[in-house]
Amino acid sequence: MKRTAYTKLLFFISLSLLLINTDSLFAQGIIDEDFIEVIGKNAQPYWAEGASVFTANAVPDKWKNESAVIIGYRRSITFDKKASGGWLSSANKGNVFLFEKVRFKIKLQDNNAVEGFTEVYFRYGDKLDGFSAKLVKTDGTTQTVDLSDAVQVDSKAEVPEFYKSFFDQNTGGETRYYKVAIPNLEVGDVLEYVSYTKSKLNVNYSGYVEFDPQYEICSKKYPVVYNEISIDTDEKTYFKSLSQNGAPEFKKEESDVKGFYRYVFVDKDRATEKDVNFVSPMLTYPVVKFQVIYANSDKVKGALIGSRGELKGGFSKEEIAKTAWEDYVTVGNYLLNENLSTVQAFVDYSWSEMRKEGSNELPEEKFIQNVYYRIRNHVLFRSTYLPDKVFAYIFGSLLLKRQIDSDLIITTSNKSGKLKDVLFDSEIRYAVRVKDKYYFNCTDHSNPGELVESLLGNAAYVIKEPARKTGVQEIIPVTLPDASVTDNTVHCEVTAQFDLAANKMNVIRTTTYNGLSKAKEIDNVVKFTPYMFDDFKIYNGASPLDKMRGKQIDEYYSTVAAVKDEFKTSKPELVQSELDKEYRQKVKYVNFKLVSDGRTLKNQKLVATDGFEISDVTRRAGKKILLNITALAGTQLQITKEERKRTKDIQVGYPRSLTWKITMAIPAGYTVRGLKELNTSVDNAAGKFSCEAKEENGNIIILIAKVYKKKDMPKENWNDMLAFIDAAYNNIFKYILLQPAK
Amino acid sequence: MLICKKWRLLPVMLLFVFINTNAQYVTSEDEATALQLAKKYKDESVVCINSYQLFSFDKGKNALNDKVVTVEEDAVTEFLSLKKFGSIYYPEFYNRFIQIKAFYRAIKYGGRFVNSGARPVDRSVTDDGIFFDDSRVQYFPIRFKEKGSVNKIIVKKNYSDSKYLTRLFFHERYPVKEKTVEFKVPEWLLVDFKPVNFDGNKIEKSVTTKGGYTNYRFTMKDIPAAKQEQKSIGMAFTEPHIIIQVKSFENKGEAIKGFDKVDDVYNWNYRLYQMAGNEPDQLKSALQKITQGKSTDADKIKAIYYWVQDNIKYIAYEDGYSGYIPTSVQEVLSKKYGDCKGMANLLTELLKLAGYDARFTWIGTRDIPYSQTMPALCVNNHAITTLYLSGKEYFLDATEKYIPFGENAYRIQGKEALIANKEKFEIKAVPLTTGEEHKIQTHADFQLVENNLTGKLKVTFTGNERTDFHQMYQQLPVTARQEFLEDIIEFGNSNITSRTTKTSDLQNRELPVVIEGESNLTNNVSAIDGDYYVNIDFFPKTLQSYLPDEKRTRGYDLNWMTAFEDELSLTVPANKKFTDIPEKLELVNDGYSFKAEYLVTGNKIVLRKKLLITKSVINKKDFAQWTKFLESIKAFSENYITVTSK
Repeated sequence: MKRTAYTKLLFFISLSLLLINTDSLFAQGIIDEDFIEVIGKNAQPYWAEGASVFTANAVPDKWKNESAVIIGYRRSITFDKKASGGWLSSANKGNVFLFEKVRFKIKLQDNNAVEGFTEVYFRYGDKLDGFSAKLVKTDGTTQTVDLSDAVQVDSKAEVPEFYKSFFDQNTGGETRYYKVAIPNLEVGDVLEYVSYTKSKLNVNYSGYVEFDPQYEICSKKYPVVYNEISIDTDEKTYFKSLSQNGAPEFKKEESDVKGFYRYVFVDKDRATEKDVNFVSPMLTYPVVKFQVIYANSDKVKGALIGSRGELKGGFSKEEIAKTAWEDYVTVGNYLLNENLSTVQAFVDYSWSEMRKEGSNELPEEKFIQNVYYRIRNHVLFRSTYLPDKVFAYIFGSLLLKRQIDSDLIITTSNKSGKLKDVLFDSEIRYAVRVKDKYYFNCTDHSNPGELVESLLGNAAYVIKEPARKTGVQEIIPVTLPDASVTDNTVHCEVTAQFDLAANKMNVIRTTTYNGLSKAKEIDNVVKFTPYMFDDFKIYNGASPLDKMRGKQIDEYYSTVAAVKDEFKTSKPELVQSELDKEYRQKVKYVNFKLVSDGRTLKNQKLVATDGFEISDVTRRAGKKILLNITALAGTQLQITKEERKRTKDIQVGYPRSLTWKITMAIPAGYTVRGLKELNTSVDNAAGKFSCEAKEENGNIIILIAKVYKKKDMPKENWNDMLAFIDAAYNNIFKYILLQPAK
Repeated sequence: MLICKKWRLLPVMLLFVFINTNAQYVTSEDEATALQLAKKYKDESVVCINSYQLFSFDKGKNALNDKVVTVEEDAVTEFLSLKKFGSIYYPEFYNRFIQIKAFYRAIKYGGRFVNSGARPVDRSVTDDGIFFDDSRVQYFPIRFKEKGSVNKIIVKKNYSDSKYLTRLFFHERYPVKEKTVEFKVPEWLLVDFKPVNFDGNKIEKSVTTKGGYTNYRFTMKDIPAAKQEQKSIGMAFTEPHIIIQVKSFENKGEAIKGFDKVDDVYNWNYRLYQMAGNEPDQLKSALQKITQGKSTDADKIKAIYYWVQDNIKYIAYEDGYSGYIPTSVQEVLSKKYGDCKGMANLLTELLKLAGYDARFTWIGTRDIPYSQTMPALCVNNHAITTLYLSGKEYFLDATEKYIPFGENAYRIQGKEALIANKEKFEIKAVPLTTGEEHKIQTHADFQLVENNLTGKLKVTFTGNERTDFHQMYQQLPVTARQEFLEDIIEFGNSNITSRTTKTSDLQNRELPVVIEGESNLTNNVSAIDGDYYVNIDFFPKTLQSYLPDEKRTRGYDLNWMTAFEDELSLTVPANKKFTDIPEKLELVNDGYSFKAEYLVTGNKIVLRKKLLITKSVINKKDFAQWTKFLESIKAFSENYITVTSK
């Protein structure tokens, strides 16, 4: 075990330094001719399926000027435990069989689309798999795509969206993809393919399998005339679906096969969507969520599922709360890490450590903080964050060891919808409340009680253990804490000196981050600083050295020294690169200092100072110098002409303010003009921008403020958004004039 | 949900879980060497302390059943870590002609090496633009536990035909303290090791003869790492390397030719070309359709050339000899795709069938420095068609989409073409143009309206710039084309909003591309105390991305020649006048020049400027001059003019 841990450390170091991608790869080779024959034959029957919507070769007039139009996209997926659905004859042997039939038809209307579909991809993993593609030429003739020159694809990541199987994730890497260039492909051609794949999933050791939750965004890269997904399940498989933002819904239909249930989603006439700023896609674009779950028993605890044959289209708060609780109470048995210790074991170990260290006797408030930081320290040295419910379980359990009562809170991310839209277990978010204070899952840097953007102001439930006799569960609606502009701030104190001879500005900038603005930036700011080495001290924990002896201690110190040494190179490179991006020019890095890492309640502010030299901020008009001092505020968001008309509501994320105080000594021998022209102010319901400039004691002082007042707004507020965002953008192009005194 | 991976923390995440204390395996000698070298190579974490490659020759047969010389390579490379957790990766490339027979990594424990037991990672290294080829790599990601740790890489490779052992470089991506390349040449073999760029480098050469073998040994010491740098001159132009030229060998009394002269390379290329299996008769129907209604030679040739450009997609499928043998013309025509050889083959045969003297041609692109007189396969990497018409040669590159007949892509200009003519061949150079033939001209007439500049704009592309335009424009989704045209007359300046009013015929690749529009330029005027400070040089070409920093080790190869010609004017109300007019600037250097001047006539000021690049290579020795040139242009662009009341 120990050796593994150390080896992983070394392995990552080489990975991170070399950026080597060691994804598992298949050997690339020419396709086997035997299976080409079989694969084409296997596909033939599927040309007859879904025929009516695939007869057209023309596209609607409104899309004649699109790059390409998807005429039909039909995915038909069958989950068959008994292998009895008429789909195949092979024996069951503890597997769930998954059959996927796809028919796809697209008209390619320009060179770009032809280039994008130059190759077809297909999957081969079973002797029953089939694939066949054809072109319909503009004269109506058809040409079958010859697969004999197909080659194996090196990495599944290379496979384009419309050729990817639904089941790749679930069944692992047993299957292989191939690609073949399409002969005689021209603008105006219609490309069509059918595919049939069989996968299997062994359920011998698990009577319950949740297939990956699916989020089908209705709009695609090209307009879609017809898009159908049909799911056939046997009696051991459950199905649920929920549509959001106006997407069509799955409907239950009669299955062709006895004992099967069929659910069908059809979307028609779907145009494309453009990417725009201030949009949470899951709250804006039509999307249908669905999931298939296999369960060999009706008595499945902790599963958010309906009943057999039911098209479950959402869950009541009682169902969600019940599931959340049942799931939560099993968390103790989860494996926490690769050495196979459980969550409960971690709780017990942590409690024993706390008792040894005396932390268990701290005053209640200090004790709660100590527990939080102890969990955070564990998170810091993990490769992944803890799921919310694991955090809640550990946190709540350790509090309970000290007889401190806490409430379990459930909600969902405000980036994906509301509680009523919860369809998957994974959409339930957990938090803990102690008295009236909320504690959210740890990041590497969060402090107890710090808020989370995706849970800000959310509707939530306090859920209790169901009554043993009646099963009735108490569910209390609550609203999670929200944040205001004053909570989420970034303030930059910028001191600049203009070097006339070198025609550059020497800048020292101290930036202070608070609230969610801190949460957003802290990863970057503290990266390559040695904050982690003393993290244990924050909760008075044991030093890692305490459990080491002799040469282990020497090794520890030399390793820490090596890591710190690496940081000495990496940090300046990172800051340099960030400065270049921020000012969109080559900036010369001078120094960086982390003043306060913001990782303790005592010093919750994140404060960093960087020094740099920036040169592309001056212009000359004869002997006069034009100085673009407002550019020191850094690059500002520009709303492009394509985005100025708004059709979607506005999601800003969280209210926040950004302020700058720029101070620059007026160079000797020069007077300043143009300060009053910098003064500007825009203040409306959506936000605010202001710039005030003055001369004071031989210095130019400029105060800039940009405020996003709300986290969400209707699209009608777009002009207000534009007003202050434009003002902020325009401000960075303003100049003051330094005029020689004589 | 916070379950994403946090790789950034992993270097230290396990420190607190366990500290491994394996037996100390760094010798004091290695540690001392690491300390010493760390001072010399401050930016490096690993140094190759010794690299030795031995090449032995044998006789064999290739896949075509030819008697050939085969080559065995035995290489040993030792790396020393200059710091704890130093890391590097060591690759060995292979394909159907070059096989890896053994490849392992040994770790030094105390005074001895122990096989690590690790297996190399294997993956394809097919370039993005290639559909499929047989290029693969095996590599070891190596991490070193300590400063002074030593790893050794042992490799055995086999070249099934010595033709594919073309050249060997001394420089690597890491510094090398000492590198030796040795060739063990048997008496039956006549081989030449041609030194390239040895001048100015200290490379020791020794020749010893023993037991029927002559050993040629080349050693170079203290070789700096070859860094990857943006737009750098290819290593073959500047760094020392050896070209291996198997001239002939004796087999059972028979003298068998290798690559002694360019004739031998031509014969080999021509033989593979003939193996395409062309059936030109199958092109007749297509040719008739392509040339229907065309009466003049020029019209017919253009129709054929443009048809191949437009209708044959570049899809390269290069596996073993298919990397050298063109696909047959009938197959390229029927599939409507091919690589450069297949496209050149089809174009040549279509032209021949139409009655023209067209010939298949091999050529090296500009990133290859060698002349055709060098008898080696590394001279050519591309195929085109040469057309002889009215006593003149035309070089037609079917892969160069939208290039007009009579013009050549810069990548082949100045290069020698090896032109097939049955058993004979010709070598001709593709004409080199100057920047003047590839222009981007901009004309703008602005008015000062409040604090904005509004007016009309016109941009014209000629030569390769026009071809580049078409290659981008014609491949865009039709829905994105209008935006692309507007982007062009917005010049990447986020403060311009433009509307296209007129364009030239964008379906005609021969005409200059002209885009006209109306524009509004904001944030370019500062109004201070009633005066206006205006910049009409609103999209200066300052080439700042080509300004070398102090760490730059290699020269630039811009890979283009061009001229930017701008005429930008501003008209102000009659009661205003211009002051602070910048002085004119004229910079003339070998390969690049700049001229700019402001002229005032009444209430109108005009800026005329021209940046001309006639040589695409900027050598490191010329960096000071180049830097001064770019800085002067930038300083000129920073001038504002003042508009004040009369």
